[in-house]
Amino acid sequence: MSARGTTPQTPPVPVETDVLVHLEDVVKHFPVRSSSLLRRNVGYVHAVDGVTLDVYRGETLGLVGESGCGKSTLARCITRLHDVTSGRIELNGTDVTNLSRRQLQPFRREMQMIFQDPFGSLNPRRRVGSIIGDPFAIHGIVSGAERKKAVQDLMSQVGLNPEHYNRFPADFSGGQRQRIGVARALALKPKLIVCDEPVSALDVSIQAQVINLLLELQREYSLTYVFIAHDLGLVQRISTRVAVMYLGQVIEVAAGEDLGSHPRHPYSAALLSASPIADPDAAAKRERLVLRGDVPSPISPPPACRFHPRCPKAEAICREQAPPLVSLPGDDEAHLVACHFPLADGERLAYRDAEPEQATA
Amino acid sequence: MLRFLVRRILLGAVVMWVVATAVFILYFVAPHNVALLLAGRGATEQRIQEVAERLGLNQPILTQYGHYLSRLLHGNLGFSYVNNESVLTIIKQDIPITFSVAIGGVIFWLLIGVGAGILAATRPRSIADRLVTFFALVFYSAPTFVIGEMLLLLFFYRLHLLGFNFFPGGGYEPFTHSVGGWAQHLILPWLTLALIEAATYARLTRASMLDVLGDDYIRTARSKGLSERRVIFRHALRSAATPIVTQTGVDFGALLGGVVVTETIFGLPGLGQQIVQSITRQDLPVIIGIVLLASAFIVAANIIVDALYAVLDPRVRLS
Amino acid sequence: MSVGPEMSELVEEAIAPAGQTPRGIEGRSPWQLAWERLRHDKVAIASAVTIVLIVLMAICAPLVAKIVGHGPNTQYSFGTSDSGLPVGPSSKFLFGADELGRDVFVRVFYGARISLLAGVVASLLAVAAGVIIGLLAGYLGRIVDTVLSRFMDVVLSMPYLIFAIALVSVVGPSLSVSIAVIAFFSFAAVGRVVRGQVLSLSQREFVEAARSLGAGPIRIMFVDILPNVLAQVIVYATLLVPAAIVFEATLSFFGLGVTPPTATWGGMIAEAQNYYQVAWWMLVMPSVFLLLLTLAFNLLGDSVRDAFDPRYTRTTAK
Repeated sequence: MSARGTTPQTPPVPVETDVLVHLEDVVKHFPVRSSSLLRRNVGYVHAVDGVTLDVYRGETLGLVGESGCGKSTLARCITRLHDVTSGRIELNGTDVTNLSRRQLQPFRREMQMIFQDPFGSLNPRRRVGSIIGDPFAIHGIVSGAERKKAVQDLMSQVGLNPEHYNRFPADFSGGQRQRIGVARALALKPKLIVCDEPVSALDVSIQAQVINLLLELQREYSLTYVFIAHDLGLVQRISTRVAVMYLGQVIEVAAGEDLGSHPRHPYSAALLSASPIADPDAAAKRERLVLRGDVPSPISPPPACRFHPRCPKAEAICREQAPPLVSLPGDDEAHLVACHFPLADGERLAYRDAEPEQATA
Repeated sequence: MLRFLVRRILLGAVVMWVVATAVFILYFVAPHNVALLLAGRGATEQRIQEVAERLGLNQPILTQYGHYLSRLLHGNLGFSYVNNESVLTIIKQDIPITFSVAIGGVIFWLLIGVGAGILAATRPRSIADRLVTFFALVFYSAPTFVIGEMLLLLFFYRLHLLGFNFFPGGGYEPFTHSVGGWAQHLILPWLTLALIEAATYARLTRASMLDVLGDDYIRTARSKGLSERRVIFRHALRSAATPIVTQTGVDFGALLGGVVVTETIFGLPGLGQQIVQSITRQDLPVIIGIVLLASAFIVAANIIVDALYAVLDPRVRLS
Repeated sequence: MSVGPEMSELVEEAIAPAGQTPRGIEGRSPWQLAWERLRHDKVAIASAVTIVLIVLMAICAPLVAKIVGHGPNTQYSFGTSDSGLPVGPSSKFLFGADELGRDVFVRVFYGARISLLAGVVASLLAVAAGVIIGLLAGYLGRIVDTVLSRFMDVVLSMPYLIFAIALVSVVGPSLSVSIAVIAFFSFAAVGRVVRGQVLSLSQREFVEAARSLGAGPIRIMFVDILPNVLAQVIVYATLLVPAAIVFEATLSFFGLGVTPPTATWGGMIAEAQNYYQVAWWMLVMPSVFLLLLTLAFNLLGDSVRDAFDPRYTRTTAK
């Protein structure tokens, strides 16, 4: 069973340059309808606005950003819960962007999702065994006694008591329910599991348990994870690579430690400075950057670089030209950033008209 | 608010159109011998031909439909086959009676129902409460005609036997002749209509008020020293009103049904009795006319109820 | 549970090391919980017993006819007195006779058949149709929803009795027509309620999860969503039955139901209209049973609703 209270370990999984999922300029807009009789479109929510990303086999790709940055939407685009407005999604080399539900069926076995809400993601009126057995039922694999055995195996693997096969979700705690969700996602032995903030709704003490479970399973089944969260610290520690999103676009991609020590995008730096550190002395020594302004509405995002209204380093070009997502000379090839004025090592980030940094007691 | 109303009225018009079309299909299109039906059973072959000619039944369906709709829009509902009177005239004659019955019934049932509900809610678990709940259940379960007949049996017949002649056994006296006579003839019908619906409203009011009376702001009102009457009528009732209004909206169909039954039992020559008699006499134009009128009434009533809703609950207006 | 799930997880692991069956509290389904409450509800039991008795009445009607020796539609000359008036309750006619000399007692038993049959079958049809239409409209949304909702709105806008009268006048009265008409005018209420629930349920994450697993809309509607609306539907169904029974009785009252001389409670009461002054039993007997049946169903429906949703407390003692 999972150990209690230990900090999660970074997975020692070799990163192959074998691409499992390829996203090419994926765009997802949600129409906003007026409330009149005719229900015209009065605008669009630019939830995901041109994301090009690769997910390598066996890695854990972290996806972070504030609420509303589009990470959940992107996750649902990857798993085809939403139809994309434009762009391409390739799974294992096959273009799955526009497949019908029927055509998509076999691919569903390769990619699964774990949801954020342990209370909402399980049907309260169905028994747990039936919920976990759903994937088997839907895809017409094993049935009857065999299925029950398979489900009970899954339950043991995720740390649940197989005797509780006939219980209802209400009889389980939050952490246990997430385990049920994990078991359900694991049933068909998928290659990719997209975890949409799987621990955000859990007690901190339980979070570690569930994370450790996920890491264990990854080792055992060679899973690839896309791990979505808003806690940058957590994501950094468990991901091979991290992608930072802002207002529907990916603004930086880097290996976990690389991002932590050499953030290039001002927004990433700000996020890092905001994530909690347990050690009070280290926290005091750290420089905090508090961004001004609020996140603009995704219905009318700022032109060119979307971060420019809040960026301490913004210049005229930031308002006119959208910066491409590229790697900088001198940086690791895998470290991509979309910024006209990326941060250098050790560069302090401050608003030009700000007061000099006060030393915290 | 205006947009809201306009939407509702447009919807209502659409509904009316659908109903009119449904009636048309039922009577003129459905596979049966339409002319025979309209001429009435026992009509001669020649008469059937006459009817077919007169109504243009030999024309293509769409032409007939067009004529039908245009006639309706002009208020021409056709002519009775029994006495050749214009259906519109017949309806106009009957409306005052039906209206009297309905209005009285509605007023009574609101008064009795809501009143009993408030009474029961403010004295939970008391004898009054239990009596109200019990009778509400009994009257709620009984069909209108059973109540009507029982009322006749008890209040008319038995009281007559005892020499107490107050309640007449039926018939109608116009308002213009004598108000007293009008009311006297209508009391039993009103009660018949009212008691069943009152039962629903009593239960509803009681449940709704109980809910609301338990709320914190009622406690606050009381602790401010407001009299109990003010607490109930100005504060609690307003919140409890929404389900009552909803129920009213749903109930127009029931109201019309109740009116038909009541008029039949008590021999009141209103629209309800008219349509029942028209069935026996196979007087289709009258039937069609009343059906359309009834639908129009329900549609209009629903619009009013929706508007009332919007007034009571601002959230509805903005949706 | 007095101990929350979090605590109980720890407690279980403490007392029962992995591998053994923990002495946990066995989870009970919402159905079992509701059934428990219902079982202890005295009013529900009384209502259920009444219904069962009347059902027995209906089933045993031919038997009773045999025992008493009178058929339901046979006119007996000794049923009417010399002046033509019906005979009252006596040893020959337990409930008296009607204006044609028929045995009211036997006819009441036979009338139970029609009322129960029409009421229950029409309700079942209405509920089935309402649930399916509500599911489709609520889950599939957009065009399907618009069309179905407008359709239900139109049906709800029709004055049902008047329309029923109109319909039957064209088609001709019979039992199946009665059942069809009642079902047609009842399904929309169920459909509306189901649609509302399905609409909100469709937004829940477990539906998204099912879709991400690859489940098709039909599976989601019937395996995932339906169990969550079923409780409401059952409550509605038990309340629909008495309404259907009343509807049928009203149709029979107007001569639009089952054709005479078949005995129906509504028809018997209609016949009693002209004779109640001299033969109160013609009116009272069928009325009492009709009232008992509908009352029992209504009380049972209330109890079922309470059983599923104890928050809806009634302060009257049972």
